[in-house]
Amino acid sequence: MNRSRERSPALWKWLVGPWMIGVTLLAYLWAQPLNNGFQSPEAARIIFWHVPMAMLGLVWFWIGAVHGVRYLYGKRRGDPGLDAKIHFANEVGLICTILATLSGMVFAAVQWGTPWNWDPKQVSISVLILLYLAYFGVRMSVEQEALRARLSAVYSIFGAVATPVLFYVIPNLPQIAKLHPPASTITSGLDPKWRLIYWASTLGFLWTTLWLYELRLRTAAVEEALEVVEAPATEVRLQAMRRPAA
Amino acid sequence: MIPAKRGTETFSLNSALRPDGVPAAGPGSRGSDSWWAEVSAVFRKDLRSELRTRSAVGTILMFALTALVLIAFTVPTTGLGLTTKILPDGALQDAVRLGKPVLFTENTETRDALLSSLYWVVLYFSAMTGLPRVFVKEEEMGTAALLRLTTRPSAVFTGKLLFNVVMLLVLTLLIVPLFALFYDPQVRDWPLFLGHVIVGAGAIAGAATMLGALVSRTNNRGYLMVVLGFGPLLPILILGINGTAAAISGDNGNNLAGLVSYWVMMTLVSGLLFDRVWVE
Repeated sequence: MNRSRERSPALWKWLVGPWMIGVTLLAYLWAQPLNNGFQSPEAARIIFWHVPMAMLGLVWFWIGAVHGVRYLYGKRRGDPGLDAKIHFANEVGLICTILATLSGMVFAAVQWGTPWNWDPKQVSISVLILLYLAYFGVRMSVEQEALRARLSAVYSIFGAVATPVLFYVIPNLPQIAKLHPPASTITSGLDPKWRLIYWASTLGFLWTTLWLYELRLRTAAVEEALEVVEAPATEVRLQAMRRPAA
Repeated sequence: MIPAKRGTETFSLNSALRPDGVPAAGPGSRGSDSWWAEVSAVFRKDLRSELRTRSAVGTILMFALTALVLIAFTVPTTGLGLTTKILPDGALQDAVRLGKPVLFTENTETRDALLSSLYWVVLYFSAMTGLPRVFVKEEEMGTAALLRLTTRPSAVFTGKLLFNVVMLLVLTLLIVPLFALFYDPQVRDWPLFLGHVIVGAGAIAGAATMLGALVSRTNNRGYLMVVLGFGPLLPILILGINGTAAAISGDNGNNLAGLVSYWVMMTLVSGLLFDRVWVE
């Protein structure tokens, strides 16, 4: 933690700006609108923003779960720093899934005529949001810090185990009607130009969310340090107020 | 790692619970209980206290009954589009030309899906109110610490899991006749329907046991379970709803394999994580 603070200004953070500007320019100028099956050919560009967000949401939840396993079983078992990592990874994951849902709703309004129609992927992502809101519900329901960390680590592992079923198995059940294209559209069916921009955008967003995550860890560390510094000072001030100067 | 030998160093839960007045072995004596004996002791203890108070079964059953009755007289399950179908295209034009009736009585797939969703929603909320009781009551009555001292965590988990599975299966067998009586689902494939209902109940109990242990240690024991259970249990509900709807309609295909594999997966994960929730 201390080392990363000394290393400022970090070059990798400054580079994410030009990178994302480049991706945006390429997405709007280089990639040709797609005419196959889209209501508005321009709307196809949703792929560059919405899909990476949905993917990164899952990636961050899994990062949280991996830290959860480390917290419960690893060498640094019981380390509050790991608890903070689980907490903030899940927070970043929640931001990503909410952004994916919102961007998806804008697209759905254009493509399918309504922002919400309970397509299986919409079901999955709303369940995912509820699942991780429940994670924060667990955190809010326990006061004792070590127990809170332990229970929420367990729940984040439990939740992550359910995600593959929610995202890959249920939407592919034969009985369920779907509007979203299969995931293989991104990996193989896409125009090479589009695929390149897609992965560049995913990388850029991974980069941005990493920054967000690191920033969140640092502010938490600062807040904690402030509490340690301020608590005795406040106590002294309170005592001074109670005993007026003679 | 959490010491696994805990149980062997303390006195036997079996003898501690013996009702015939034989003094329990003191904490110093080394119990010789096998793991299965501990599991069975936990299971029998929960069964006995449940038979005395009927708190969990009573909660779940009253909840299910209230919900079933409320839905039965508020949600329409008969009428146009539910129990009446319109003739298919070709036959429809013939019937119109000949002046014959175009509607005929047959349950639609909408009705089958509606009834099967209602069943699972009632089961989910009833189970979420009742299943955490096995752990919540230990915390409320202050017996959790004793159980932690006397019994290995894995034995506690397995015993409570067995108890919850058995309890939810018994409740399922009580709720299904009520469901059949109130809604008249006209199931075409009863074995498949019962298969989904039974396997689904087992799967719900499997995943809910660990969550119940988690909830029992928080400040919001009352309502947190419904929120926590939703994500991990939704795959079971979706597979169950699809499977029973197909069984009511008499369609081919079932989700039993999916339900069983999710059940096994969730139970394994729960079993692995349980001691981190349970042990102080």
